[in-house]
Amino acid sequence: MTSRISGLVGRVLGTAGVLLTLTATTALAEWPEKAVTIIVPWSAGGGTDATARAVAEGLEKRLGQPFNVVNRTGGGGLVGHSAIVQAKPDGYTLGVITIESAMYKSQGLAGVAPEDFTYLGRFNADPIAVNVRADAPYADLNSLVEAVKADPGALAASGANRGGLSHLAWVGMLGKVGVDPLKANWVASDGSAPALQQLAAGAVQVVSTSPAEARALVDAGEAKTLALISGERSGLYPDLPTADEALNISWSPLPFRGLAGPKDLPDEVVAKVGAALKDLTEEPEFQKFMASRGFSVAYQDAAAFQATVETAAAGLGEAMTAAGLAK
Amino acid sequence: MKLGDRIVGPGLILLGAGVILAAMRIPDVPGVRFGADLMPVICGGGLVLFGAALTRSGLREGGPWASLDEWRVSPRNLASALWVLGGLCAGLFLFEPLGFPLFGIIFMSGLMLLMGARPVTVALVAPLFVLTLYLTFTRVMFVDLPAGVLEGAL
Amino acid sequence: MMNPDVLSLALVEVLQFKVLAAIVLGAAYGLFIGALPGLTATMATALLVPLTFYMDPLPAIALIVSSTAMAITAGDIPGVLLRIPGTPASAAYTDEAYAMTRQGRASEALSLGFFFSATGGLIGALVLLVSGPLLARVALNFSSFEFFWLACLGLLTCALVSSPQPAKGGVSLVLGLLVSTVGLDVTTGQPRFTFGSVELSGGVSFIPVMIGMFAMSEILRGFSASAFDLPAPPKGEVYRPYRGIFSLVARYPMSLLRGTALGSAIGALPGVGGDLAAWIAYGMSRRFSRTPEKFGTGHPEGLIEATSSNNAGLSSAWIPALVFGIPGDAVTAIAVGVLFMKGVAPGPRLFVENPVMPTAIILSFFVANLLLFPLGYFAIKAARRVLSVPRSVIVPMILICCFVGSYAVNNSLFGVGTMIVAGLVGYVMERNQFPIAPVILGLVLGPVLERNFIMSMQISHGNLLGFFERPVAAALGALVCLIVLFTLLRALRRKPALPAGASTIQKGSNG
Repeated sequence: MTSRISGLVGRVLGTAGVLLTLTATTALAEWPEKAVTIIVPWSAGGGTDATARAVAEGLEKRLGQPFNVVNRTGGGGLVGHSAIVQAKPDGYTLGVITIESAMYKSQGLAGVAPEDFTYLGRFNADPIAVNVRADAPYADLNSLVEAVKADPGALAASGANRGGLSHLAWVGMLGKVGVDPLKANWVASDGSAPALQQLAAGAVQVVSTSPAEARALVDAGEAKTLALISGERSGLYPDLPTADEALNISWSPLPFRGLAGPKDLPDEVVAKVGAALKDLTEEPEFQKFMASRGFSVAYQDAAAFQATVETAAAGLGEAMTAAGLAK
Repeated sequence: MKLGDRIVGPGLILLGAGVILAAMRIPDVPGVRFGADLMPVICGGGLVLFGAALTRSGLREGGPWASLDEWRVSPRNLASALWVLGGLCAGLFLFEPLGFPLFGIIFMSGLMLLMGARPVTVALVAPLFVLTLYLTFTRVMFVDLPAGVLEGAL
Repeated sequence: MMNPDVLSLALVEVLQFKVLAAIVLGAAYGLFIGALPGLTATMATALLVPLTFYMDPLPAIALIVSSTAMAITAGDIPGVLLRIPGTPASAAYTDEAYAMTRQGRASEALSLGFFFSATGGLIGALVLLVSGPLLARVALNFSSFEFFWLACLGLLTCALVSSPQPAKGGVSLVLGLLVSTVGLDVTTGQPRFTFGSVELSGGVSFIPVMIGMFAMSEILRGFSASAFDLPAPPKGEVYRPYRGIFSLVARYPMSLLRGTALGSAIGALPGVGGDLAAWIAYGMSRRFSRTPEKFGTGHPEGLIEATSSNNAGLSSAWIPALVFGIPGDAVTAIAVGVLFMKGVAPGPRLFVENPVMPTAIILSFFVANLLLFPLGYFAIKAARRVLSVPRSVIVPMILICCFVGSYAVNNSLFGVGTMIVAGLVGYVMERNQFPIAPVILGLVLGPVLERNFIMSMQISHGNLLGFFERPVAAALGALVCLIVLFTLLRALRRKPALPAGASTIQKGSNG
């Protein structure tokens, strides 16, 4: 009874929503006619924030209105992502989303699911790498994995919170070679910086994080990068082998950054932002900026981006179930 | 509001016990021995412990249980305090529809008048201060404050 | 690093017009942001990022360096005048400084704030110039075990210093720690105490709590009868910036040195340094003082030690970021980002291949800290006007600033709600002699404490002896255990004498 009523209410609201969107679309003959807000779910100064600001600047140049970046942080990105989902779908509030948006649902966190977004386009994707101390007795990924297989609890790995992408990439890879993800010792950390500190201090043995973040420590001779957890080699680090070739598996959890908005954005917005973003990613200046921070430029249009996110959500959901994290 | 340790102590013990119970209801994650519940349990334990210490010293010292003596003040002061509390709470609902400039001017003028400022001063200072602050935040520092009903006018 | 050629080359770099202009502009901007209650150094830096897109690397970094140094120092101004601390670090000594203002010594409190911040900053920069990479290497050896003990040390000192009754200090501390657990747990990503709210799952930010507990509760108290117990700051005070400052240097030279040394050492530890140094310094100052009973009554000694450690720690916080690319706080994280963007990759290779750059960055610390003296002079001169504004005007202005400041934290009304609740709770706590400062520190350091505790437990597989296995951790752990034992013994022994003594001290420290 209750569900029928709520279903009815939902349908009425849905119709109203469609009507609203229609009127919004007609009123919005020339989007954008005022400043657009770009919500960034991560803190100012981080990688996502830096790329978002560069993208916002590029969009501003192409679309003729200010694109203001607003950081809405907290809850492992949940607060910001949910602010994007809940924004009015008029095209004046968009956001930069990251792979975490595909994980909340499996984690049992309400408010953000892959189907809640209108996808506009992806501009970046970088694999996660396996890093160990420079003086560690592992020459390559295979010898490290053999050591983990021999005694999964002895080696402490870190890089993010339990259930964070770093963790899933690592235990997902171990799962593919037959190690029980629940037996592997994962030391939960708040992002990669404290994990790298632990690695340098000798308190953990493995850190899975992007090669860009480990670069300074690698240059210092304190750490070495063994391999990328990915299906294809990176243009920025052509010499790094991939876990797929080394271990003969297929596991490619790619963290991405892309533009999205709330559900039911007007088609005009999708088309205009998509075109502007494509144009921006082809601009040499933008490519130079991204390379300087160690980020690759990986454009995907709205449809391809949506497919990527859906595939990622499914694959990560499996890995999370295996690690006992899914609800 | 003054509360005797005889009330605060047991109150803290109850709070601590409640925290521990709530923390134990956080579901366990397989493979994690030290998880989300550890720190809240420690905090709850601390509250129970310190609450017990306060209860002991409170029972020994006696004194009043609770009193609101400090609020026997002039109606003007009481009204100001209530305006502050009520105004801030109302702000939670009015800030976005009214917008910062209008809400700020109303809230500030009311408090200034209650605190005994001359109407001329109020009429000058409140709009000037609020608008300056609004323009500084939105134009210089790019903090997005809602303009509300004045959208488009500023 | 002290290679004279490098030093002179770096000096030439820093003395360019565009670098100096960036430092001056950054300082003026930082002064403005820091003096507004509720706006923080982190926000100041984040807002500068788009601007740095168009600048050369050195001016860009110099801009960030000088605006942070100034914002953090200027954060003391509302603390001194209105009892609204600008940073968690300045919350350590806000009550002491405001007690001086109540006695009509606001200009002395402001002067010594600026003077010893600048001096501490200068000495700290010198230490870096001589021993930067070495310090970084030492800091890199700190694991979660050492961080855990350090956080314990800071929290303990804070709880013990801020109240004559350890139990009440303890309650405040635990409350702060408890509030810090609200939100998604970092270990497993599970929501804790969020009651299904997305806003709460983002956790409770310390800025609105700090504004509410200090500023709003003080305003509420001002309307109540207890306002008459303590004098309001007198109006006719004569402001003479830096007057009598050298006699303070002569009287408390050890405080300056200890504070600076402590700040430089702890500041270099990524993640905890900046906030902890001032608290530990204040506690240490009281421990070593010949007149510990004067602390909390408007006594300059602890202020000197805490403010000098504050700015000394500020510059060392850059060392792990520059040498190993591990940023310790939001400000250095932003700076690392800006450096990368400019094609200057932080890391030890920077010191070998391009030593002029890091040296020039440290030199810009010198210039920024030198600039604190003259800018402080004007700020103190202007501060007089704040206290001469009638109460019926300044109180509404403060409240509006509090409202906007808590809103701006995350662009949402949730911050405002947090501020109101914190204000009410803070009012009741203070009325009943529960200190407020430990709540703030507990809230700021709670996540640091918890993360490092959980990490350490995971690494040692739950064996508590593992916390004493590494030498530095063992020493820090022993120190913490000793302090706890000592406090317990003393609390048990002098019980009968406590009530009378407590109430007299409390009256002072409350003001």
